[in-house]
Amino acid sequence: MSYKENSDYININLKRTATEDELLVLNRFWNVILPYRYIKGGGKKIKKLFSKDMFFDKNLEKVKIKKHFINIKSHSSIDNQNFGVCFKKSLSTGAKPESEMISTVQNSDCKEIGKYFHKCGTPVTAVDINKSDIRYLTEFTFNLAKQIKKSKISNGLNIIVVGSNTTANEDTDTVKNAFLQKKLTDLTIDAFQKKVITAVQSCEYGIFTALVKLIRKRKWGIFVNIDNLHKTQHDLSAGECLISETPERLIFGVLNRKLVDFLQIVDKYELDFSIIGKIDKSKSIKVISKNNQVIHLNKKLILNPLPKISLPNDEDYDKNYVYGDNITEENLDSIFNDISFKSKKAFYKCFDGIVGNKTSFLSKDNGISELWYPQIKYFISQAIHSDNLQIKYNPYSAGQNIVCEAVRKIIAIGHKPLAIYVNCNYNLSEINSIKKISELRNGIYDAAKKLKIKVINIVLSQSEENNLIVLAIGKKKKRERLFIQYFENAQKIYMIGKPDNLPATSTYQKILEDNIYPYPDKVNFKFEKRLLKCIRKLQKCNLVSAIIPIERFGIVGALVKSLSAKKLGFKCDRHDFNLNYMFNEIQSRFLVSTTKDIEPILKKHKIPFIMLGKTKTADYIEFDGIKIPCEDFYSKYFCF
Amino acid sequence: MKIKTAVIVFPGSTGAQDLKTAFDYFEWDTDFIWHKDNLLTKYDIIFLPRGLPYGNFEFTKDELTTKSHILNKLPISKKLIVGFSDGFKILCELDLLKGTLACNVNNCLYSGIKEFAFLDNNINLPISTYYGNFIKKQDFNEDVILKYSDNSELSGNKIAGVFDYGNKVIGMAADPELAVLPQLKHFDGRKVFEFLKNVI
Repeated sequence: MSYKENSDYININLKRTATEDELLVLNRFWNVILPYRYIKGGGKKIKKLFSKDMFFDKNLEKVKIKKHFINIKSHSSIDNQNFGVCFKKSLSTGAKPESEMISTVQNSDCKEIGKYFHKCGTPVTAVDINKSDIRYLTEFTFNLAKQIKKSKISNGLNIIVVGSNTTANEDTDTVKNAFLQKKLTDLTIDAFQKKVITAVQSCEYGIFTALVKLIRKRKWGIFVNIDNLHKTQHDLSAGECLISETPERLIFGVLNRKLVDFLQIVDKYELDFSIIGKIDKSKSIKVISKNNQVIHLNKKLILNPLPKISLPNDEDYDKNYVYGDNITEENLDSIFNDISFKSKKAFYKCFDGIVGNKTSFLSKDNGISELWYPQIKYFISQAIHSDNLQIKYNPYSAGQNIVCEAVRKIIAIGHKPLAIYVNCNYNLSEINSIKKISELRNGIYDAAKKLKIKVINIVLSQSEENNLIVLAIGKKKKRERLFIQYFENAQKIYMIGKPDNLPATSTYQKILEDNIYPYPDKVNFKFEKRLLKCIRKLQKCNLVSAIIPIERFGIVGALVKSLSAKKLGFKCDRHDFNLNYMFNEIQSRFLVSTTKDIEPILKKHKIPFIMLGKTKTADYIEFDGIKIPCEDFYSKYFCF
Repeated sequence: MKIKTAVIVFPGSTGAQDLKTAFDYFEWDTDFIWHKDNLLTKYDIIFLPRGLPYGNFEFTKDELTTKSHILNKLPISKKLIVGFSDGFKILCELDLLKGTLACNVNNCLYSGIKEFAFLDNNINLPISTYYGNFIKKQDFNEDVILKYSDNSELSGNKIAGVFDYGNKVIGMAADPELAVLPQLKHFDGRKVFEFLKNVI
């Protein structure tokens, strides 16, 4: 649901105009926390159709407590200041060191990464690799606290927030302070063992979400005075406070008679806290700020957003729908029977600030980052590639292409691609949605098989807009030469790869000409592998400076991004180049910058190439006598 | 008679529970003592476990003695005081061992199993540290009881563990408590604990 749809719906149900704070918290809650709830019976239906390994973006898992050992499913986050690595959900540990996580990690291609954290046979989770202690214990684990689910809600239960000060725009995936996290964990275990707490929730999806989870069942409601919350900025609105997300904050439910004991424990760990409210029987969430009621939402409204979308039945498909080449009516059934997402319970995510790239030598906006792990003597890279257009037209080819695009980024910086992780947001209410997803899945797996990389997991989420994000992971041994992602002055620029004499759509062309060709192209893997082999050869022989994969916005996009770092310009020496070709988004191509002779190697590998021209100190790009200021590309056409 | 051990727990300690697990294997009694509490003298061995005490790499003697009152009341020369990994660093900062634990020679965190020369034996112990490079001070007169077997990327002089017999203080850069349990596939840590038992 869009913001406007939400707002209209809320106003109708409240029979009044909702406050800004109410709109803020509900929009966040519905769109982030409850997206799969939009589907009527969708969760079960999708699970039935797809493998049980399919991973949904769920919240807390159940916890079972056995003596001092806690069997949990943990969610560890990553400190992006120190490039730590985490193993996200579905990681279960117990008293036994040989947990399934170790065998999973050992069996995957990412085992070199996992080995670093696998010390003496005990599972570990790293948060901060620059600190000397990077393991967690067999009995207790990082972020344990929020996994304890033993809430006994009662009337008058005090709601206490403990942890970092609330700040605006906090991000749930960032662990800024590993030490604080540890203290919170220890506090929770301590308080739990002394039986002074009856409820605990993590604020990783915001305080509002945590409060809703507390009162989810039965008759409970909450009254909150948000002014009591400890914050960094005093002018934060109630809504901003309530949606602020961090795993470095917990909410506890504490009975009056245990309050003193609990606060002593909080004092022991020297943590900040605030008592923000109490549980009542109102079946609603009421929040006051400066003696004014700013939020009053009925629980029914919070937990049941409309409109619900019905998942189409298997029979309700468009008979005119054109499937991908290898899918026919006959083999469709067998595809459904054969679907099994080969997910692993532990998966690897390396977070380098996808938008704000912290590896400075790589030009930002390319969605590639590279980190050096001295302990295992590897560079580890990740490349993000996202797409929302391809899957609409031809999901099978889209699946293939997007995997190849992500892998090309890994290769471009000199790494060996290892595995991919896929995040698919799809509007499941669309007709043929499930079949399209299965085609997409097939395309992804086919590409991964041909490129000899693993698919770690495919995550499917319901979304208004279809969007596919592939995270590719690679590695490189030793401190080899780094392959930068920008051009230097007076370098020759070659375009190598698929010949650019075929028409294809591009976003730019759509804007200009409203011209739709069959899109995207199928991947020719024979050519693709030859091309990637050639790239590796050029890298090993030290013949190239930068290698830029051509993706959205075609040659121009790749040029402009790569010239911008050094504020250079470019002159195209060819007179046969139409400006439209420059935006052509044909796959399997790279821009390569060099001062050496690379043509013999390109010819030997039978890779088509064109020498486009040379970089120069200028603030424009010149084609066929037409000079276009580089600045224009940024401001008018691209949204880098 | 059962050995009684105390493990001093700092806010950043992560090795406390592992020590207890190892002591349970040997059937030693263990108490966790919070760093702000008072230490009773009923214990035979007092351990400073792995884990940066306050979550940061650099901690000074002043910070240790101000924040952790228990460190002012350690029964030096009366009871055996042992520091593993970061606990070793704490003992050095408190001047209870005459040396400094500096950054590893290669300036990188090391985490893995290493071979050591322990008294007359070669043993394999886990070690995970950024500060494995022990540098003697001028008045160093302790015995070196643990040495890296190879010219490691951690230390220039191969010293990994020292024992001040007079004050009964032992420091080791390794984590022998992680090499005790049968499930962990490495058992050489047991030799270290047997040595400690004989010392008291």
